[in-house]
Amino acid sequence: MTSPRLGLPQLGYGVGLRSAHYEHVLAQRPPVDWFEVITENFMDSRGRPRHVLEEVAARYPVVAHGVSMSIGSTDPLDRDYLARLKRFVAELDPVWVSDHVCWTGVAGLNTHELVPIPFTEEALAHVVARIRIVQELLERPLVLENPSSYVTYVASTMTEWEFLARMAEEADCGLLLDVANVRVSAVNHDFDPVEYVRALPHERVVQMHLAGHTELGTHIVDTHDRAVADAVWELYATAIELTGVVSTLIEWDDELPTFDELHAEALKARRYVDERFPAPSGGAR
Amino acid sequence: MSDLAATQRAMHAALTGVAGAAATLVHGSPALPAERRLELYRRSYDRRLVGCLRETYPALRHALGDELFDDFARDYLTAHPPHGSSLADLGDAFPGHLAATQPDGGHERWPDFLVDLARLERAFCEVYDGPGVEGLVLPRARDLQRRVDVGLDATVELVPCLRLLRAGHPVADYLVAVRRRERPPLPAPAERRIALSRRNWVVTVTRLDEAGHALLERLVAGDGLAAATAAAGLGRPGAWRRLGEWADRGLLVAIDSRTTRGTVR
Repeated sequence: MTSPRLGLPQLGYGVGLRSAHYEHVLAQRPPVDWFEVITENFMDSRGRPRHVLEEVAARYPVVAHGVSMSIGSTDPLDRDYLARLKRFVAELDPVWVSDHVCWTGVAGLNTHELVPIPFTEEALAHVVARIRIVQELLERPLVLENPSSYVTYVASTMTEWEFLARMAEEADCGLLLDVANVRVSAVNHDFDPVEYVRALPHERVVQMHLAGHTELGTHIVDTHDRAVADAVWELYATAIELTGVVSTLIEWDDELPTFDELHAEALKARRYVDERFPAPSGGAR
Repeated sequence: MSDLAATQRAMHAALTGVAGAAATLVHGSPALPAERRLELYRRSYDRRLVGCLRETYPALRHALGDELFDDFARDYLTAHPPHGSSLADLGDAFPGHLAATQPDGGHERWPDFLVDLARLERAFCEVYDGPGVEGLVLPRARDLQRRVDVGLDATVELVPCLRLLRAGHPVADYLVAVRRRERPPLPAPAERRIALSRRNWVVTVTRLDEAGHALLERLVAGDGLAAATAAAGLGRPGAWRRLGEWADRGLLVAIDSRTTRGTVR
């Protein structure tokens, strides 16, 4: 039986480290539980971004969240990228390393978009094999996130949640459940988000993401530019009842608020958890 | 080619151009047909990459205005679609692309200004995010003055974040003004020699005279101090004075003298 969260720690309620907040974080040392950093923004830096990250990592737990592994691409794995990632991980020692269940490029080109993969047996076998290679290379489990999506493929033979569940079990990896992405995709593809969350292997959920999105009538866009919507908070409440308490992070990239406003959103997640899992002695979980 | 590979190639074509075959590979709905769904990705691709170039080249964007800058950016992205895993290097070839495609302006100097400005902004990014010397104790001018025995046989180690530029306009002043959120007008032509470097994580600009620029160019190329000084048309006093100024600007790591086996650090 798999250990809850693959044995990885429950870090509490974190936020993404963004350059607009560097000065505040370094000077004020706010009491946030942990930070997530976009791997590619720091892995090759030898300037101030890397300096800031090292200062932050000396004081807070840090998780490395990538956007360019392209685990689902049919191009060969980018060995140069993986070597740089391995060096970065060795230098930073993040609590875990995550990326997305998607592809970002093909034929040697990179779109920098998190494009969904068809949920087929061929794609599943392909992704599982590549996750195993990456985990062996990094010598640590990979934690993979469900991206938001605007398309589903005619070729798909299983649901997204079936694909994720089988992928996680067969590759023996962790899951980063982006609750907001489930909501976005559920509206865009007309499925039941609760059915999605219920079907996942809950013991493999290492982390959750929460973020704001934009409702446009015909569809929802995953914009990360506002507070988390009520519907996402409701789905988060359902998710944590199924998974137990897991590390939770607020993603906010555009129209960035002050750090204190961002942190308040993370503390809102803590309140949702506290209502459902009262601590016997009021201690931290 | 596998089904998965074919799907990804069709999707890539849709993201970077028109929907084409990909529209038959994805589901649509009455509210949101397949073509519109693919268009969401295509717009996101365009917005992300053009936005990245806007962030990398804020002064060039100011000089051109948003609409023209975005046109130039899209032309560049068509000619140089992204290959790398990082967006940090997306705009590496933008100055070269502008230079290669700039119109013949006749007597107009503004196309040269745009290319010079782009080169400066590219160099700014390299200096900001590249290897530096923070944490090292660098020599100051007074350290050089104490070591009068160090002769022209010496070799000069420069900071790794040093970048030299020639420009036909005061592009550094323009860039600084834009980064201060001012709205500078297009400057009149004026020859400039510039050294970019970094101290305490902040990019610095040092204005050079022609001889100083030539001296630094030769030192960067690996010449010893004697050869570099001669190539720059300077004598020992002129070279020594400039080295002192540059030491105080944090451009030097060390000066090694072969004859005295001494090192100024």
